Amino acid sequence: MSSINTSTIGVQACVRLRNISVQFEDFAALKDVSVEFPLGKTTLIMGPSGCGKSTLLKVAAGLLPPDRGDVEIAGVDALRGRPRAMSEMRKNTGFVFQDAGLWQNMSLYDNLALPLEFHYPELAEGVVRRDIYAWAKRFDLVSILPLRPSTLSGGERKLISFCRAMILNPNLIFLDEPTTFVDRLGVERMLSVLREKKTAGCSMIGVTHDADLTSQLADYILVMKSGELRAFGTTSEVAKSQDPEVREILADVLNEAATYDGDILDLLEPNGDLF
Amino acid sequence: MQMLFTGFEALPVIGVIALGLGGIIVIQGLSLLPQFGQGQLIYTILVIVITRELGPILAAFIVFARSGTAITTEIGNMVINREIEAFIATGINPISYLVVPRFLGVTLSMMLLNVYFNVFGLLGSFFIAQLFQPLPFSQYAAGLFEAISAADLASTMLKSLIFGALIATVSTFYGFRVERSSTEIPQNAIRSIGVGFTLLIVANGLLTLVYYL
Repeated sequence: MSSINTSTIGVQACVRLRNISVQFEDFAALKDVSVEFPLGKTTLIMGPSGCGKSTLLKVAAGLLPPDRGDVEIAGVDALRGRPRAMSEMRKNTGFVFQDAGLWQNMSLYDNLALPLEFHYPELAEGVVRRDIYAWAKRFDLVSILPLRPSTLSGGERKLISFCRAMILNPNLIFLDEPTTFVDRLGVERMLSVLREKKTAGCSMIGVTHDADLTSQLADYILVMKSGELRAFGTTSEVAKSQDPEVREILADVLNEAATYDGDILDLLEPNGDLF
Repeated sequence: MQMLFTGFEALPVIGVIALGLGGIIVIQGLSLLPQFGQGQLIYTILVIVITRELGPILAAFIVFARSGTAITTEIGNMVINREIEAFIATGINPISYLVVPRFLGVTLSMMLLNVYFNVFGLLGSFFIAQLFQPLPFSQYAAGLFEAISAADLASTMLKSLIFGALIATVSTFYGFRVERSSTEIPQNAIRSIGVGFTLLIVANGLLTLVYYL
């Protein structure tokens, strides 16, 4: 198991992972990973491509059962939890997929309506419609609501996926590269929603290469390499890490030519040179 | 929706096959059986072949080839497109949401298509019989009713029920076996049809054995 401190002592956890291993055929995607994601905080997972970030996120969200280990989401055992407890937990979580994950045989309107209709069957059609239009309006997507996902651009799909994740007003949000393919305005709108969620005390766990998202949202950073955790702590702690490997990963991930001598904290804070 | 796709849209092909099969049995039967003085046996043969044996299994093969592979492919694509993960993330059980309606739709369609196959097969044989040995419909119907028993009807309906359940189970199972790559979709569709056909033949054999016990 990784020797780094992965528990957030004194801080409640929204997701607990214990001794997680995931194997894809001969490839070990996650190697005995244990981590507790802090409640009410935003943790961003960083690392080079293929290091297991998205796999870790999916395990943390209970979407990918690990080959070994335990997953606890909002106090519910995600692998063996009772259906009612699982359903209640899902009602309070949202997941933005890297490749949108929209239901192809439904219109975008139905993609947004299904979670509401499933969890709140008592809601009147008008209320569902109002909620959907409110989200679509916020992202300027009203005109495409009757369309099916296959007719959209990657960015539009991503925005609908984002709206779907938010429509149940979750207090635990998983973000898998939410800003990829999205134009500048779309990213701004997403960030505005995420900032509101952060202020409201939502827990967020994300994978991103986006420096803006990182600087504006991250409370904690988790650095991964080759299926293992290399660093975990508050943004300042990790950014000040003296571990050259961690510094190199952060610099690479944020797509900046930081050197070992440079202060990587600059890349992560809005008042740094980049912002 | 599943019944429309599996049941209604399969009616033309099932109808043609049933008419053809009924016709062939009558042509062969009427040319051979009277030579042995056993012309009346044609009704028994029709009931055994169409109602008890070939009706359910042929309808099942057609349903599997059309709808079973379609279900495997559809679910496989949903796995690749992360649609299944999206259901789980939203708290919707994909088994309840995707498998149960398909299971009910395919099973019910299979039973109705079997009835349809029987009607067309037995009617088809009547029309073909007119070419060789014109006889009134009342006489033909009386011969059939005499040859058919409640056990035959129970057997055919039980077979179609079990075949429908098998088709739905195997095709959804192989759809969910797709994991990461789109090349797995046709591979699993082929596997599902191979395993499905084998299971249908084995189940048909076992149910026929039970009938004679």
